[in-house]
Amino acid sequence: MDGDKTATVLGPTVEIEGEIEGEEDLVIQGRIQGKIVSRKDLTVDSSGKVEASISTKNLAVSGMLVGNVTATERVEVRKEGKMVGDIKAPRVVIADGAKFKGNIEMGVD
Amino acid sequence: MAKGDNGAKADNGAPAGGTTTAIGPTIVIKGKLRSDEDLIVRGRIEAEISSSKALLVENSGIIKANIRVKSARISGVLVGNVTAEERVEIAPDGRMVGDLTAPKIIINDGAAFRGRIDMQNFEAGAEAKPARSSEASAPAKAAPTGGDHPPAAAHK
Repeated sequence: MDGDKTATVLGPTVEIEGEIEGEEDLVIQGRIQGKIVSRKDLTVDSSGKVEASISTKNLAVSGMLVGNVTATERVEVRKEGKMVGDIKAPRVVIADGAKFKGNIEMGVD
Repeated sequence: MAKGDNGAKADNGAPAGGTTTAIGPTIVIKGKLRSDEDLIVRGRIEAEISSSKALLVENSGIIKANIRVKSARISGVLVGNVTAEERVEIAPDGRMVGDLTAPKIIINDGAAFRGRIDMQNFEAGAEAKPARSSEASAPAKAAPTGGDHPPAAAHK
């Protein structure tokens, strides 16, 4: 579990107001309000509720996300996911069933 | 609080079963954190923590904030005031600066601590036996000038 692939899972009862920064995978099952900066994968699980501006490598949303996202690789709003906000990433996936409102910029030159 | 919980050895500040959130070594959190599950901190937290469960600050963990939890065990670094419902333990490799308030407080050999400690129950216990405590303190106060003499038992 504590090998080179570490991940932090913020459980369903965890609520954070403020800033989170990390260089490991982050899974959010609780509530976050503020700002998230990650250099790895960020996942908002189905129980997760996030109101934050996010900067990350990869993002997957299965829960609820309100805020703008900048990803260096990929953003995916999965079928149970709901998102309101702007996405800026080279690859964006919005799955069938997902809810989304906002702008998407894939950096097409 | 349930009476049967008083002497429970299982609750040694380490997370028991149920859900646990482990905050990894590269994570930095600033702001405010609330939780109803056990927390293991391996990263850095500059956020007020309030939790109804146990907090475990591991070796690599650093907390700079006031915290309010059920129980806490500190093997890392904690700078801030701690209020615990049940107990606080500073492990041999733990370092802490701040005030501690809890009914049960353990500071292990090797631990570093600077601050005030308030074990609330201690005062209540002393007041419960006023006769004994006055008996014990009376002779000591009656002979303040004789304080330089070592106790008879220590004489060789």
